[in-house]
Amino acid sequence: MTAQLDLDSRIARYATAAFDDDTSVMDAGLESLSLLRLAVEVAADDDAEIDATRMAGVRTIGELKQWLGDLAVHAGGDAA
Amino acid sequence: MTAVDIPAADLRDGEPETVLAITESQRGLLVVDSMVSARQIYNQTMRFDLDPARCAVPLDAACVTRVLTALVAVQPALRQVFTLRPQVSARLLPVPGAAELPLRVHTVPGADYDGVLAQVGAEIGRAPFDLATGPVFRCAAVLAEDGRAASILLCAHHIVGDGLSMVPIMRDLATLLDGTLDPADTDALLALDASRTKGLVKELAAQHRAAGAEATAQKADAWAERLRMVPPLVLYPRPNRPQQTDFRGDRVSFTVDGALAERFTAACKRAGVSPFVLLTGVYSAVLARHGGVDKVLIGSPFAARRTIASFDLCGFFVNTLPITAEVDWARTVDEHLAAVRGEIDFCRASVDVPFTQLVSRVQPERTNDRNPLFSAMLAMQNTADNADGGPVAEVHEPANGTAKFDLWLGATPTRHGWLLELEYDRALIPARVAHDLLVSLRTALRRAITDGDLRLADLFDHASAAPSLRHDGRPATPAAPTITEWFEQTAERHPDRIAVSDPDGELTYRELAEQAGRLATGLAERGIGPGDVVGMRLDGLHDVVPTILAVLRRGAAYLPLETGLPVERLAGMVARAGCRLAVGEPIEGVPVPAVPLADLSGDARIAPSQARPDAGVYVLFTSGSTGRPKGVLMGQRSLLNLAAWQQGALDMSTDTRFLQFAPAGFDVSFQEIVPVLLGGGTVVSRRPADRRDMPAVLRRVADTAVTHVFLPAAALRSFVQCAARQRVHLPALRYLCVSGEQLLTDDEIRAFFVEHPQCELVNLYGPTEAQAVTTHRLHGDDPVWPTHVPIGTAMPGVATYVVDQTGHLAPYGVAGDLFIGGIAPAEGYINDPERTAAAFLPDHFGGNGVMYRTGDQVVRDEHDVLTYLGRGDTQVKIRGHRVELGELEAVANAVPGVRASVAVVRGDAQTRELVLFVVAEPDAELDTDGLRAVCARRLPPHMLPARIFDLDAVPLSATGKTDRKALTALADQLVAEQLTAPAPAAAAPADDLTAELCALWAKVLSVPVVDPDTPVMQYGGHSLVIVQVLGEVQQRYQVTVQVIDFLRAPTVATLAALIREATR
Repeated sequence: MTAQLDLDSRIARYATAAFDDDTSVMDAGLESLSLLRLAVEVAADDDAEIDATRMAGVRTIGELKQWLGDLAVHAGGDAA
Repeated sequence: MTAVDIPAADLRDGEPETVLAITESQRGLLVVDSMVSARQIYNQTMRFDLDPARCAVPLDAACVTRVLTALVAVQPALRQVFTLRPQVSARLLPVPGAAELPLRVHTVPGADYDGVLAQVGAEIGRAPFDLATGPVFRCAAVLAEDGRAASILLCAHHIVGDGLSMVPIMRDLATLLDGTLDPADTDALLALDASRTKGLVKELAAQHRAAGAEATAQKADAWAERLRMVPPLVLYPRPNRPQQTDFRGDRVSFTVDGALAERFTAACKRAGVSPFVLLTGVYSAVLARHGGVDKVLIGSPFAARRTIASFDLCGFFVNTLPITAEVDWARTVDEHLAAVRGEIDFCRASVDVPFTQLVSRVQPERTNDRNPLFSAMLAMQNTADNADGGPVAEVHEPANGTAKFDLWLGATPTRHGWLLELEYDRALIPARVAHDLLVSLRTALRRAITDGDLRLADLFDHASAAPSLRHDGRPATPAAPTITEWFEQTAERHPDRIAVSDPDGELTYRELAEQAGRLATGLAERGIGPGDVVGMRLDGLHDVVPTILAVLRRGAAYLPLETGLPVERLAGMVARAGCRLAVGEPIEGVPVPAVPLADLSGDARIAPSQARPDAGVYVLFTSGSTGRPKGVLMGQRSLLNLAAWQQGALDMSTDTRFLQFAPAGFDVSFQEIVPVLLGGGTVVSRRPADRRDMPAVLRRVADTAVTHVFLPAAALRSFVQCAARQRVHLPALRYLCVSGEQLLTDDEIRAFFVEHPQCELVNLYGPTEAQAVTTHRLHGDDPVWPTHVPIGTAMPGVATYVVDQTGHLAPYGVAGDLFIGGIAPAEGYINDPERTAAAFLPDHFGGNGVMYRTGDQVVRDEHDVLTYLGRGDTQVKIRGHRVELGELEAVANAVPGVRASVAVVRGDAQTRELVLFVVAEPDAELDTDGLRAVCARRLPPHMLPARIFDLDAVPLSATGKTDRKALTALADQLVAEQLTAPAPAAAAPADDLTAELCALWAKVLSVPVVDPDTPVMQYGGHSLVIVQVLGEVQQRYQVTVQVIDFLRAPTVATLAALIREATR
């Protein structure tokens, strides 16, 4: 839950509009570059890999959080 | 200004080396670097404007040197150098000492700061880097003496950095400048470098894993299939468009700010798209309009970094991928943007497919040194956040005077919105054309962000109508309101001058006027008056000329009924034209009363003239696409304008002697007869020479000392060749006019005009429906003789509208349909209101009358000169490339021993090929191999003939034009015969060199054997392999073979020839 909240606040730093999990990333004002930056922030392990092809499938904030969460877990880092 | 010069490093190889397996994208840049003449095109300059107040120490030369030395120390990618052998790889140079850093520091008075900064920014990227020896970067700093301003510039070859690299570099500079990282702390720098070098190696490994995955290969296969369907985008198409350029570029730009920037942001929200998608959507519409296509490929860099650590690294980790945009003009803006978004998502989801894999699968023909898949690029330069409160206040990317692509659009966010810059290759796109591209982009963007429901075609405006109305400035004022009145005035002034001269004798103006009057009276007695059409079945100027004048005097129009035409066609013409009477011998099977000329003369009392300005002049039939000929009725106003123009433009006077060469059924015959008689000159019959007997025609021209000759364009070459062979000089000749098809010139034609400096070559253009409307002139002393001669500039009173595929007047450099308006269009197709309405449309571009749709594709250049590009409906394409058959013919015609040549296209889709027919000089043997070699030297591969056949004579159609249809059928027949003949044995290498090279290629390509005449691409060869082999060739034979030379015909035989040529 804590991690979830932190993801929201991290995303809010890049978003230009209010959002919830159903908001599309576009409507929240997030470009692909912002998504990459979020991924870099979230994944604490430098050796973690970003699957850009999967990133292209991220449409909503909910999906974004899922992706970032996976990245943090696979990287062995903590999304918090 | 003082500058501290610190020389480039004296590089040493003393330390253990890190060998890096470079990415596919880096390999691609290595290939480009070895192919292009301007290797600096991939220099990338970043300019960091610093805030001295936020720096820990004063910014002087020593400080900047320390900071930049440290930067290079902690960004290993900057220290890369590259090699092709033994394997394509990079290694890292040692960290340079401060004294070795390629840095130039400029300390300048505050007043000079901006100027010096701009100058340094423009110049730092101009010199190329040597990727093999390095360093592949150079730095500069501009410091204000008063300490108030400072900028650092870093120029590096793109192969070691990308747009995203700007962020870590900016971050490193910030930490080095604000004291977070001490540039003198060697241990810290070494530790950071070690960890980043490790990160770089890991990132490269990750890139290779992704690129080599089976799933990636499958994606690449499917994608390549789609890319093959996209036509090439050619901006400013023209016959002599350069194949190679020196990559010199310029930029034009505009900003999106204020209310417009707000609308821009709102439009992205409205359409649910990013700025990248919005700009791609608008840019694609602009490119489709200007390139005349409905589908475009736009290259764009996609971030392809994989490891988290790579985001701290400078490096080239982008994949430049082609975005496919279909442009359906009837679709709305938002529908289009949704489709483009889908395509961009597709690219993102396929970002692991290296560009090089796409190229190797699409196998585009590498005919030039351009990007193999796309000619237009869009780069979002939004990676760096300006003004985050650190020592680096702003980041810019100055241009270096080059253009990597035909056209590049850079979109850079600014504090107030966006800066949009178009960078164009100056050799391909003149400044005027670039300006019009920018106008289209600005207009389309403004409209797209304002109204998402707008049709794509409505994103654009008409280009200025002024060029459509521009003319050659020569006078065209008729001396009278009708041809009849004008002729009578002339006849009264010059009663005793010779009007008509043919072997049967001569007619003075007095005699001609009297005879025309009597014949007109005879026509009147037979009820002929205004609005009637009178058939003419006559031979000889003595009969034809008085009859024309008599018909016109009655206010009627004449209809030539030529002897060569089939009876059925003549009967159809007579019926369609509503012809009530024919002058001449009756024609069996043609249902029209005929009166022999001798019986026509009326009594001595001359009936008054019924001529009037709105009357018709002649009816000429042209072929119709449905198979039913169309009768074009030309009126007085249009032809008086032409005749009046001809007086001044062709210097017509009482001294004019104009050869009458054209058959009466050709509109050219009017120009050879009537304007001459209006000017008091003499119409000279070609007889007794037969039109097909060029030596006899030439003799007639010489013997009669004519001043004006008008030939079919196709006959010009034969005419000048005859003159050269027979050593005939024509001192009286002033104008040699041609028309009928695209005029192609060569050295022989030019030589004729050099030897006849008093004679001008005039290329006239005009469909039968509007007569001659534009001209282009050439003199022997003109410095440049275009092979493909433009159709030129309009006559006064004529409007030439070029309409692009959006339905708007085309900007400069945009191909479109030519519509002819103003005074020129005919009255219509006689008694055929339906087809008249379809072809003669209301002039809605500014005139009140009608405009005729020619169906011809033309382009207007920046000097207002029109060039004919071909028929809109029969454009020849070979594997997606536009091919001008005339260009191949011009090259073949220049080969010694070739008298004439005709190229045709046969086969469908994949089997479509060019076939060249060649007529040899009388005593020459056709050297097919020699001809092929010349073609291979001068033409791109897709323009080379697949087969060459010899021919006794070029067949002509009924209208005297080259009969390509007959030749295409002949080609099919000859090819079928070839295919059934026994196959020749496989060729063995001709010599030791060829055998060695075959073996070399077979080894590199991992195939058992390579045929010397088969393109290496067919064995899986691609550009990088070629570069490697040429490197091997250089080492083995001490010969440098240019990639571009080899690519013209990429076979072992070519390579052997190039090596021999170089060692000769």
